Amino acid sequence: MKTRMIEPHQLFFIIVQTQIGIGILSLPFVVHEIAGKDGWLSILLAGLFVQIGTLVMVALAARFPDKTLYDYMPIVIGKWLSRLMIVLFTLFFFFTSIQVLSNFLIFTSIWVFPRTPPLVFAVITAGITVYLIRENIQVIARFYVLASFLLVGILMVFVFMVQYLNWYNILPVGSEGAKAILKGSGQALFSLSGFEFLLWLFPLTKAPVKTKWKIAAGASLFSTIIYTALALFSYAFFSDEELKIVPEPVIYMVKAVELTIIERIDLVFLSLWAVFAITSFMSYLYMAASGAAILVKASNHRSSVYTLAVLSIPAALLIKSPLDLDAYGGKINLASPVFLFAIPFVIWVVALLRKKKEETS
Amino acid sequence: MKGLLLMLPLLLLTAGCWDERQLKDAHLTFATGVDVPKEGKVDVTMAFPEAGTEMTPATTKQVLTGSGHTFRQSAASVDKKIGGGLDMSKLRVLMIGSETAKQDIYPLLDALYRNPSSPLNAKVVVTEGEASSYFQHEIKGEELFSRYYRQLIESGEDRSIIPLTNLQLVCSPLFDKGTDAMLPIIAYEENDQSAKIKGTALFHDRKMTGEISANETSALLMMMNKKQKELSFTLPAGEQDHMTVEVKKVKTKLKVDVAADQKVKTDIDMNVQISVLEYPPDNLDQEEKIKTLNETTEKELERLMGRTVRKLQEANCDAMGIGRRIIAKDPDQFEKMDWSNAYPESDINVKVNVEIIGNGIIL
Repeated sequence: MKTRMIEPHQLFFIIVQTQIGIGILSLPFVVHEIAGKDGWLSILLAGLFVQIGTLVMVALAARFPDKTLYDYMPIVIGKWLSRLMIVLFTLFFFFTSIQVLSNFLIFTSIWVFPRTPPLVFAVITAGITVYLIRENIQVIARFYVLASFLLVGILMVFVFMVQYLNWYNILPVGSEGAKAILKGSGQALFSLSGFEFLLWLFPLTKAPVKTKWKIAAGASLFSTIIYTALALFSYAFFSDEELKIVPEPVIYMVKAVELTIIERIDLVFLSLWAVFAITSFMSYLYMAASGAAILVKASNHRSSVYTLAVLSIPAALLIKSPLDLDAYGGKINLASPVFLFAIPFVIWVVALLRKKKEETS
Repeated sequence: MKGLLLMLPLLLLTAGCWDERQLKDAHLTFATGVDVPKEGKVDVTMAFPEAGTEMTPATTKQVLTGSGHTFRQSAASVDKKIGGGLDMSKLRVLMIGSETAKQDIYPLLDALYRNPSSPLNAKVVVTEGEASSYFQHEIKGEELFSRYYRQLIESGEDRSIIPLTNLQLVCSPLFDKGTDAMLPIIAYEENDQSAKIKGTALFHDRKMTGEISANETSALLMMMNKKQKELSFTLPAGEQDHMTVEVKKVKTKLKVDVAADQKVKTDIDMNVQISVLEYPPDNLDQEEKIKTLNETTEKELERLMGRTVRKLQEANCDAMGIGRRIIAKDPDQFEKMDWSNAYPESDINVKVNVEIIGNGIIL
């Protein structure tokens, strides 16, 4: 697996495809619940945290240029502790993938297919996911780059909506208070997670350290900008009070416009969104499967992909209503700062103190 | 080969048989009227079209009314009368009777906002008198109510005599405490057997509280910088003459000031470029003449704007979103003042600057 290398631009799109996903529909609402019309500032702030996190990860990964996190953890923190870490990371990625999947299932059922049993979509999604992620990282990266052309479809929202916006709706900036904005950024972090893949993709990317850092930081910046712009647009489109009752503002505002040829742009938009939601699911399931493969000392990650994909279907179906999803997502949200920031930071500090470092071979 | 085997079951599953909605089974309504004859009752009138062929144009096949306590219940009672399932997802025009609009209109729309397949781009209109009667009148030369009303509204929007709205766009101001909603209003002309755009219904707190004419709506849209494709006026020019002008370009600056005693003062400063469409006295090449015409037009426009603003304040309809601007500047101050009482009392001054830039192909 080591020999499979990816190009810098592929690294960029893997991170972007993982970050941009279910958040497109719900993130503006989720942060608005906490930070009001300043929710977009929360997203920007979360983007800043992500940049700091990326910096820590680059500093850590640069000490072991040829190894992934799972490879060098035993050197830094010892064999048993690192085994525990791999278990935790695998569980975290698996639970996150379940959240993404159930989010996808609930949105499709609410918006487009109310009568289709969610099981059908779960099986289809898991099916195509397995089909892709049982392959190596190169194949996955190529698909992600290809699917990223659909980002143009997201941009159409901006083009259509611009004439209906009332920027006075978001003024005055910062009136909700620093505390609310900070709290909102916690919610936004989940949508921006995906940059942690750098810990695994770093040694696989063919580029100097500095370029890799620029690419990873650029990818997070790109996602942050897209999310912030989506939030800004929805806040300027809906009045503050109305936004409180519209949980998926982005798709709701697309529904208000009509083109000469396409009457229901929301359906087109949802089909594009589905690709991004599924690629996020793929990424997390792939990470979980590769962790599990190391734990069971399998020669490749295929059998763990099959197992986890089958397990994810009933798990995602257990989450039935948006309320359940909120409760489940809340727990993931609590855990994610630990995995995205705390653990890499601690490992980096330990590596610094114990002077663990390796040269490029 | 392995991939092919995996794809086969997927192909079967993607056929999506659960949510198919076949056109032949659906009974589509393109135009619907809502009336509330008395509190707690909703009458829904729906027009169903008959598809046309190459030889015969589409016609209205059926007009059915259902009553119930809620919009959905009334729709369900219409559903009981028709063959095939009722489908509102293609709705083009939603009409609300003027008496009904004088009560809170949001409860009538809630069902439509809640349904993912509902057409948020449907036009919403207020009708003078009961909405149901607009499906009983004969409209000369028009066989299909929905198409006629939709075109009536769309062309009115293009000519800037009614505001550009739809189901979704009207929802934002209905909820906003700093902006009030407005909807087009139409009337039926007995003599011509046609409907006619009457102007704009003004709302406050989700209730219709007044109306302005089509001309005044154009003036309002100019003040809001919301001129659509065309916008024209016929104004008195001189002793007896009238002049029809087309507004080419409007640039409005709206400035809101809140004094220490919380008195709100709004200054509307407008730069208008117009082109003369009709002016029998001619001689539009004389500089002197242009100058006097500029001045009289300025005065006439200011009078029209002033009248419009007065009517808005009488109806307590803050369509221009002056309240929203105060919130944008200082939300605490807005909370302190009672905007419903402060707005009609506030000072709104309009200043117009006119420049004639065109006169057609003769002088």
